[in-house]
Amino acid sequence: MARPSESETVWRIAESVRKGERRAVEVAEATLSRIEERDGPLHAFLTVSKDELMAQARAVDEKRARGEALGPLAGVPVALKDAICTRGLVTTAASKILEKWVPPYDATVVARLRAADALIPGKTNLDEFAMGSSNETSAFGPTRNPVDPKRTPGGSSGGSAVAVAAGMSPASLGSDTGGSIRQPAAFTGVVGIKPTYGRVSRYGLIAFASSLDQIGPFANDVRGAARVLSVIAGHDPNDSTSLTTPVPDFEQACGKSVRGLRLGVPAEYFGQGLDPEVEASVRAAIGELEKDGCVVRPVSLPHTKHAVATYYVVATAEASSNLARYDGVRYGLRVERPATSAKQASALRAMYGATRDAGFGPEVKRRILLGTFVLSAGYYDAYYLKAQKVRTLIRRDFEKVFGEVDAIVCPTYPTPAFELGEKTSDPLAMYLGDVYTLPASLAGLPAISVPCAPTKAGLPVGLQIIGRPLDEATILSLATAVESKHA
Amino acid sequence: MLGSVREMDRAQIRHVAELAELELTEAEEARLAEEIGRIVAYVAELSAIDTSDVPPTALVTADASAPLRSDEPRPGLSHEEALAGAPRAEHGGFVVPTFVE
Repeated sequence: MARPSESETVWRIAESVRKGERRAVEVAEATLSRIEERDGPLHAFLTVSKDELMAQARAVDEKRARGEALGPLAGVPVALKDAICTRGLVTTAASKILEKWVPPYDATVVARLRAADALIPGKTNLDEFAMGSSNETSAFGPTRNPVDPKRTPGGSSGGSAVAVAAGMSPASLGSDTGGSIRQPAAFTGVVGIKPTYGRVSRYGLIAFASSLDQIGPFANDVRGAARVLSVIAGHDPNDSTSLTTPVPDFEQACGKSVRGLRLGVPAEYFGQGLDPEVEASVRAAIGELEKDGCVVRPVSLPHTKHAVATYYVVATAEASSNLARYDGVRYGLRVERPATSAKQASALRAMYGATRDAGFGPEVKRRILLGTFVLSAGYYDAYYLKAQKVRTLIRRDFEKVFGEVDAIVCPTYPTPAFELGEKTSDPLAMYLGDVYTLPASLAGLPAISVPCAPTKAGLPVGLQIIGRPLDEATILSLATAVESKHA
Repeated sequence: MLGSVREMDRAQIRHVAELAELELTEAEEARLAEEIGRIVAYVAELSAIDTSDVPPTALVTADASAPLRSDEPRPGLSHEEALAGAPRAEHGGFVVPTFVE
């Protein structure tokens, strides 16, 4: 899908603000009026931070007036998934348990955006605690796909994808644990990047599954996403998993020749369950890359079929631990109730139970319980430890293939965007759809979803490009080549 | 062991809910026992994979040199900021319901 004609790219906005062709305040006002005009039926935003946005814009304009150099995102609106902490601005994770929580600090990515002179128009809707693939588990109601409002925008970063797809913000940040940036990017026709695990600090990201969570950008073109990634990436002493590896200027990779790059097409990503129109679109995009001089060859990632089972053991185990902190004591919701049973030996435990029962929605409870089960005495080895071993096999599949090719190309999701309610009654069916995005997450690899040809009905389709660890540059070059045929 | 857990019974779900400090209604308990039972039956496919001599992966880091920062005191949240989000705070501390009679 071509981007809405009136929505400008990240780099064009920054350039015009830096040159003084227009003021950041004008960009901010236009952003607010577009949100006002469009977001009602879409519900991409949970919070629109009007006053803060205007204050940031004025500060950028004043900085320019003083003759100071402006940052690479001067006056560029970047909406934030509401799982990313913003000092003084309510951050909910789309959960009732954090409905009124105001963080006392900024996430590192937010501090970096501010330092680059970006503007933050607000906080976007998501699946509760990022647990879902459709934005339908949000405690505050679902987000709708601007391409077809009967359909979901995907999830869990659905609001951030829609903010960009509907022209309300040229870029946004999401988080991707098992596909939560790439799948909504594919469903809404925008670009979404999951960087290498460790590339971007998670300090201030509300944790879901810590060995998988990674923050990344959405944007209305590849170059814009690359610029945002360059700003947010890099070492942070506040996140022990953040890498010290130097960050290149990712924007320079955009438009670089792809001639001679070797691309692997994994047979396991083109099997049963793949929608024929999605397959045709993805194969056509791969054919175009071949015409550009890429060398395309079949490869095999034989453990792909076990990615769903592996992921839903590992991720829920980590989630059950991470979400133990929501206990009604230090922040968030608290529901007090007298102890009613012998099991609730104290009023304290009765408060824990009542708070968590009232505060968490059904999908979050399901995952906490599953995760608690796989970690519990008698089952730990059979489920959790076993899944960690299979994770090694999935990782090794990639290591072997990356000895032969420079990138892997495949569909982002087996189907175009599905309709609201289509999968909510069957959690397992919802999980199974994630089969193409989970392996790169389990292996910690960078991956991008870039729009290729839409279906006959006009629904967006995403091509997923998976790279070697820390080789975001190559997948950005390839994504730019794909985009040049479809933008 | 995996084969024995094809369905989760109500006692099992109650036990897990207690470990997770989650109070469930009767209706939730019934629904979750069924749903989680089905998911557990699905993930049991992992038992058929040969993982002898395969080490577990807990974390994938592209750069093994990632150092830990030195363990020295640094400025953090003030007392007031740390307590600002608390549902109940008094005398500079968090207030919790009775847990020892």
